[in-house]
Amino acid sequence: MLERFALGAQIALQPLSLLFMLVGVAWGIIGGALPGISGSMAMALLLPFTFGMDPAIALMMLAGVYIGAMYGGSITAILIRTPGTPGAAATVIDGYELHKKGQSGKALGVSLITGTIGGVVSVFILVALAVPLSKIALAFGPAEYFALGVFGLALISSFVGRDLLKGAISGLLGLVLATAGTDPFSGTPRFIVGKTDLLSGVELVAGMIGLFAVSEMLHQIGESEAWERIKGKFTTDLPKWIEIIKLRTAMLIGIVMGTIEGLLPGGGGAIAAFISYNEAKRWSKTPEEFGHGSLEGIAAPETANNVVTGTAMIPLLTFGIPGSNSAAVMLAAMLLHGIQPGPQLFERTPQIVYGLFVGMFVANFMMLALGYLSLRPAIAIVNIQRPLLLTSILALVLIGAYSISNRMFEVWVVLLTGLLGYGMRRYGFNILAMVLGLVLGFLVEVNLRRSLLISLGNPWVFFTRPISLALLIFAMITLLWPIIRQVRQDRKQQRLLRDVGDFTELAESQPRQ
Amino acid sequence: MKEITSAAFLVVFGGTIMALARRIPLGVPTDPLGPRAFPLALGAGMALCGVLLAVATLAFRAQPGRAGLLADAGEDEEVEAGPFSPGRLIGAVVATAGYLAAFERLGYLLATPIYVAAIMLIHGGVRGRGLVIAPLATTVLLYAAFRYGLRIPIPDGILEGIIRW
Repeated sequence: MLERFALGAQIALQPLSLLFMLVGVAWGIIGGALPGISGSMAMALLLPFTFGMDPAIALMMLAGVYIGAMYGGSITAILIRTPGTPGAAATVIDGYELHKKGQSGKALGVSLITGTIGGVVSVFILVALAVPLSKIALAFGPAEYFALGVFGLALISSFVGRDLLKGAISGLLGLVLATAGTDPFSGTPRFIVGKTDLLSGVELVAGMIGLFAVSEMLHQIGESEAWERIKGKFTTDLPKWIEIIKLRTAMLIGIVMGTIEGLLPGGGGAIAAFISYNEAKRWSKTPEEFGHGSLEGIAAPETANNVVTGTAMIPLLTFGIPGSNSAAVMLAAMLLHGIQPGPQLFERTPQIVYGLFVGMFVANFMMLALGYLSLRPAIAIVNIQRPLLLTSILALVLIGAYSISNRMFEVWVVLLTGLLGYGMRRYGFNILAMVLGLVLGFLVEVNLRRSLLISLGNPWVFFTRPISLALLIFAMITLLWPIIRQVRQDRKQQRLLRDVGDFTELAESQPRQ
Repeated sequence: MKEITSAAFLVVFGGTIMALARRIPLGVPTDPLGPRAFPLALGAGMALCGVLLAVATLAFRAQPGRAGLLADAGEDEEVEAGPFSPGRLIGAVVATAGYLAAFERLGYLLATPIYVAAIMLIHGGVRGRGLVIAPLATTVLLYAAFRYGLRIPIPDGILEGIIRW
């Protein structure tokens, strides 16, 4: 174990890795600060630039973007009441109040420090959970992988909220796209519609760039919103030790919520941040300050969304299941560099996994330094005219898609998936659910067929192996739980409505005094 | 209406997937499922979901208080409401498709500034010299980054042979 960390440190601490991580964190802060560019999109935009890189360095740089974006998002949340990333939405509440009171520097400082603490802690949680989980996953055969894929798909129900049907449709759409290309068993082409370019299937990287980046650009062009400029000069005012200690309860809540939400697919930084905010208010000695410029109100959500950066990597690295948009882009980067995430990753290429662990640890301190120093340049970039920024990004996305394999086919895929993603957003479908389908489609189908091949067509193979059976039971519970919860909520609501109706009837029947 | 359109599309799409899946050969005899079964099941699932979406939407309209699990299926509100301009969106998509069609023939250096300027015009907010300088600067910067930084062979189109870098 220690040798592996030494190996990881050797890679992560070489000058080239540090340089690219620094670039990644800087771009993350800028991208995160730009409203409309989420962390995942900032990562997707940088994907084409990683082609010629060593895979370990590429992943460390992208992790740096993810980490940097978390702080970047809070800059505009605090200064112009517009969260740069969804994860910074809860920071708006008290951050902007502090800004109005002339304490912007203090708000930014608390966000930076608590975010760094959250990020560093998340790396320890990542190591503590991912390494043992990967050892369990080593015992997996085709039946277990199939059950894992089914479990991954069932998780869609946990993050689509009330729109279970649309979540299922989105997942199915992803699965259908995943079947396009050459059948891995017989070599038969499927759904290639006469295009030989489709023989190798839908390029995941192009698909993700389209779904995440182009759909957002089309949304911003079609629904052009006014953008606010940041006026004035600001500096980051780092909190004193005693102030940090006072924020310990809020940070602890952020760590717990960030860990739980990061592990759950679809949870993401935004949900973790809002839950942490609410819990921090509940546990605070001064809850009345929340909403009026409370430092705890910044510390809890900022710690939580930074904890998610590490914990969201756990399902991806151990099982190959991306639980968030950013993890999905990370998966695309891995596949682009010929790396298959999953338990074998820890055994075959420990330098990549442990390099990533050490890299993420270092990147958090880079975020602290760059966050402190780069506030003014970040503000200058945020103030660039929106049309100029949008078109430059769109041009970058398209040339980036071309550079995937130097052919136009991928660029068209980017445009088409971008349109699909835009349509899905407008019609209330879920993009992450579709990405999960696209990613897990191959895993599910191949392992289903492989298991049946080995068992000579006996479907009981999935129920006679303990891990497979347990995963299928978990999948069933995951799938049914939101339905049961919803039915119970609806019944409760109807009961309440009925009671209110009875009460109104009773009140109306009473003679007026 | 929007939900019914989605439902109709899903039924047709699912049916098409099933029809296309039926044309896939059965594969090797040792493979119990073969390459056809999985896509066929997905197509059927998609069509079924389309039917369910339609039923849920109609049921929701009939009994708005009993939306249950498919509560959002019936809502006709925009998911992300904003000052939506179909003209701008269609313009951007057409411009992008035109750009992709011209990308290799015309060459990156000629097609990109026209495209960037077109998108800026469609979006609005940039005028005068900005419409010339910004597209040219974006094109040159991206060309330099990809051609010389990443060593990606960017198509020169009609400029191939005329300019030597």
